Amino acid sequence: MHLGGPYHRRLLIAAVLGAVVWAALVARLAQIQIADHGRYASEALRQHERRVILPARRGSILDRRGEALAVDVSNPSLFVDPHEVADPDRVVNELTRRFHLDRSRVRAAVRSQGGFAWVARDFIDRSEAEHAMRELPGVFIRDEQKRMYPSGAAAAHLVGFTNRDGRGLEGMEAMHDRVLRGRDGWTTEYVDARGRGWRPPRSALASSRCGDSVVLTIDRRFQEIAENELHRAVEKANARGGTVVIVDPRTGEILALANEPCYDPEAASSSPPDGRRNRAVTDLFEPGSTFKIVCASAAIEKGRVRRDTQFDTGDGVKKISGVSLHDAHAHGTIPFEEVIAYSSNIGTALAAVLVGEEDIYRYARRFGFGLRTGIDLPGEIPGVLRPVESWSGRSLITVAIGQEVSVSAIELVMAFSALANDGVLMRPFVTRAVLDADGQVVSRTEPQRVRRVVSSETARTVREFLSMGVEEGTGRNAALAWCSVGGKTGTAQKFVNGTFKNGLYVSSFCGFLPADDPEIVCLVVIDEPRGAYYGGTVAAPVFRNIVAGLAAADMGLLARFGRPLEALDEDSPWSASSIPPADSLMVLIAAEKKVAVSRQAGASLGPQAVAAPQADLGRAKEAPEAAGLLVEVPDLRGLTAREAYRRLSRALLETELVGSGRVVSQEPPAGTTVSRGQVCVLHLEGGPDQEDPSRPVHGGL
Amino acid sequence: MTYYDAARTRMDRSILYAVLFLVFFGLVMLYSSSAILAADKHQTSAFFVGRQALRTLVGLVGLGAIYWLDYRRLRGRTAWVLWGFSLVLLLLCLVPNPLRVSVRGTHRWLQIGPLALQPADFARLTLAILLADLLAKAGPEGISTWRGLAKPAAVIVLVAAMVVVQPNLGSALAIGMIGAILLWLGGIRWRHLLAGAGTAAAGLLVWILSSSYHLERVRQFFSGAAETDPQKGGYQLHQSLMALGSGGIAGRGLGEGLQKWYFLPDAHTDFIFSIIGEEAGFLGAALVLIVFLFLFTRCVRVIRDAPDRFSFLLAAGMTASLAVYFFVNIGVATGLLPTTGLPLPFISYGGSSVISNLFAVGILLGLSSQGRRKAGSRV
Repeated sequence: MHLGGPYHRRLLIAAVLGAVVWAALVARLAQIQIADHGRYASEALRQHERRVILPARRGSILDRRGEALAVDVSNPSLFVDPHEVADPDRVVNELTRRFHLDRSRVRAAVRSQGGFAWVARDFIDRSEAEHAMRELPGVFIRDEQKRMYPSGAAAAHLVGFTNRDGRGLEGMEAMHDRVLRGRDGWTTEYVDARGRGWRPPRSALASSRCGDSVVLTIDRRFQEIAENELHRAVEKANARGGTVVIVDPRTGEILALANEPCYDPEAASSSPPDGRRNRAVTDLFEPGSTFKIVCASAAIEKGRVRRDTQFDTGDGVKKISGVSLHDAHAHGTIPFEEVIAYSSNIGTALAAVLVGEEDIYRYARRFGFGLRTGIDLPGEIPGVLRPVESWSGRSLITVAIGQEVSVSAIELVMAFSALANDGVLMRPFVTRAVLDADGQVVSRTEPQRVRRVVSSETARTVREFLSMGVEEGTGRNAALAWCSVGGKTGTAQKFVNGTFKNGLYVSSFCGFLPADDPEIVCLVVIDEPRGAYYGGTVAAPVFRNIVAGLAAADMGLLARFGRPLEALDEDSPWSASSIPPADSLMVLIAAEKKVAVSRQAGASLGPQAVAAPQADLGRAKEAPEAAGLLVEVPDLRGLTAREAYRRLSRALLETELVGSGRVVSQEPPAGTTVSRGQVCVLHLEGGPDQEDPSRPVHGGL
Repeated sequence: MTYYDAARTRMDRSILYAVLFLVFFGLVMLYSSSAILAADKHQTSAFFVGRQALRTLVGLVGLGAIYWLDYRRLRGRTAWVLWGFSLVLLLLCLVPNPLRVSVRGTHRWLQIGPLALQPADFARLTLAILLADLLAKAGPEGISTWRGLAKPAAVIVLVAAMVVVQPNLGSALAIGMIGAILLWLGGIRWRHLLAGAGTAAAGLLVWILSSSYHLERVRQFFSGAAETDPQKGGYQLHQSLMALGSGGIAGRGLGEGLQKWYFLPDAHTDFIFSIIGEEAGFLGAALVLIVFLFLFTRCVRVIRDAPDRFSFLLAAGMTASLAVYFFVNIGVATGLLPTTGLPLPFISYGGSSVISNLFAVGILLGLSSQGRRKAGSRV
């Protein structure tokens, strides 16, 4: 073919050039896709995948019998993805109306940048939320765990509290935060360029592990009694505050620990910090006469004094080693046992001179004064007991009668516990055991002996002095008809800014029972009572009321301590009828934990899986009530959310709260027979409007 | 008439098959790359692929019609009329009128009823037809002088200039290159070509320097830095390379791409090749390149076997208009050329593009039957 000119030559050149360029493209493609594949692939992975945290359920804090003091409850929260919101005005209006939210905050969330903004995080109605999610594009539900304290302020200073993100900030929540927190799991989801997840998260790549539960040595019943009695006493005496500590002297277990003022752990951040302090371990006070046990023990142990050694206390006013001493009454010449029983300062001072500085100091140390007890609570501050070298000439006398020293409540109660425990000081503790999610014991705290303080004979002898003090001495107001009690009163002027402050006192009483073989030691400290201020008048009756309450709460205690139940103070709320039937609860609690665990496992599989774990419960044969699969829903109307939760968990039912305050209505209604593990929705006062006709019916729950 | 009837049985069907393969593979990839955007914006994932299928159908009907017509009828006055018509359409893009569509400050489209038209796509075809006619008539001798070159050069510059002010530098350059290839194949002298190319380069430089937008793109291209800010010019290229690179040899699998989740802008139009690379891997991407190479070698055969200068130049013009877009598109997607928006023939979303390209194939198929017969008779 001849077209003339350079046509075919130039076509050839063009074709060859094209082929070369084509080969270059293929080479370049191979470079990108094969040689550099790894680099681009990892870069793309960073861009496309997002880590999704699967939060672990925080472990519970339980009292020694398994009653919940702190639990995680799941509740639905609402959030919006502003990118997905088609009609912002409608979403704002509907959310504001349906959930009674603050319009401006909802608007801010809907208009926010990014793909995620919370709208409502507190106890909203699940079906209402699901309804909103279906109807309003861009609105989504996420289940969140919320910390709940079913016993309210009970043991608040021990239990502590968490922040919004579930971090323990105080008390056991802080102390055992790592144990309670468990381990979050994670997985991945794919995101688009706007940060929205478009492929749902894969099943867990690392599953979360529920936090372990912490069982405290606290008995919630004892705790409540201690708190109520303390509260009443502080109010009655118009005092600044107070502390009650109840210890099992044989083991060092803290059975109750109450402080006034107190706080609500669910509203911890808004409570005054003064109320959040666990005074029992952080606050020091001058003990006064309660400290005389040191002198008495040292004197007896060293053989310097016998119980019948006579001391001339004269007319109640005497100057010894330059210290002017006063007794409340003139006792004349009395044996040593009465010196302690009647709390004679003069007699104690005379005995102290016989004992000497070194031994007073040494025994005070052996009782643990001026040292940390080692209790497993954060923030313990040791009392102040200066070494002998820095004592003045007066110090022997003043220390012996409990001045020039300061102690914490926990120190003082442990010193008495050493006497109660036949002379052996134990380390106090609050953590009884750690249980994993299946209820298996992970670790158990073994009682720990600190040291022998005095011989068991000495301890018994001093205890007898103290029983005498309750029977006929300063502690008469602590006496119980049904049980022998020993104890010592204490009244100390407050030492403020380096001087004794007139009119400000710390009144205390530390007692134990039964006197011959004590199982319970209880310290009552009332800070700055107005009016009457003697420990025997202010603190001893509180002790008595508390002990009476304990006996009413725990019949076993009463039976063991032998004598018949005595009439309580008329105004004491503790009577046998108001106390829930006791100890079959432990079994129930174990069964309840199983439900919780199974539900946890089922949660990721969706609602249909929730029913399955109930089969598990058939095995909990130990408790007759627990063996049945069906339970009756109790009437919860009018109760507080906490009390309602408590009742439901006893009935092995799950709680879901809507609103806040008292229960207005419940679903299903009282008396309905349901299977265990069923969720009961409680509408509280502050919840969404009950009359709203657009509310969907709960039947489908 | 028997002359043509006898010839038609000998049309190069492999060209048609290659094109059909690209068109259908293109629809598959178009669906994959546009489904998310379509579902978000138009409530149906098939929005773009449905429209593209319809236009492909129109294009195929046009292909058949053009094949059945005698391509020689395109010579002379028809070429001028078509070219003039293209100019009118281009003019409509420049002056405000109800048909004009503005997108991000550019005026590249006309909306005529349901049809969105990009006149530049038709202008490149009509220009090639007119040039083939002019150059065939003039012959190498006719364009050996500046004077002889004036007319073809003016025809090219006019079209390119009207496209460049839309503004649409990429298409204008492509049109200029198609024109230059035709001039060269038509026998232009080297020094004339170099002088013209130099002038064009100078003009281009002035244009780039006067526009911060283009300057930034070129700067980005030469800096070579990975850009992660979506607001910056290098972002698109970076995402394109990430798509190709993460695809590896075998790809993520059709439909399994992740870059189309708004990471790669224009994933279903100018950067569809990157999605092919991501989902079908090097194997799939290389297959596309091989099919194009095969198509172009067949086209070169058609050119080579052309019975006369007009046929030769017309076939060359149609081939060039496909090849330039192909090379520039792949070059941009692989980062060998600065980012500019040219569609990949037969595959990228775009009605004007696929219809005009199928028209071009129709002309080539007509030429193939013609050329083959002559070639066959020569043996």
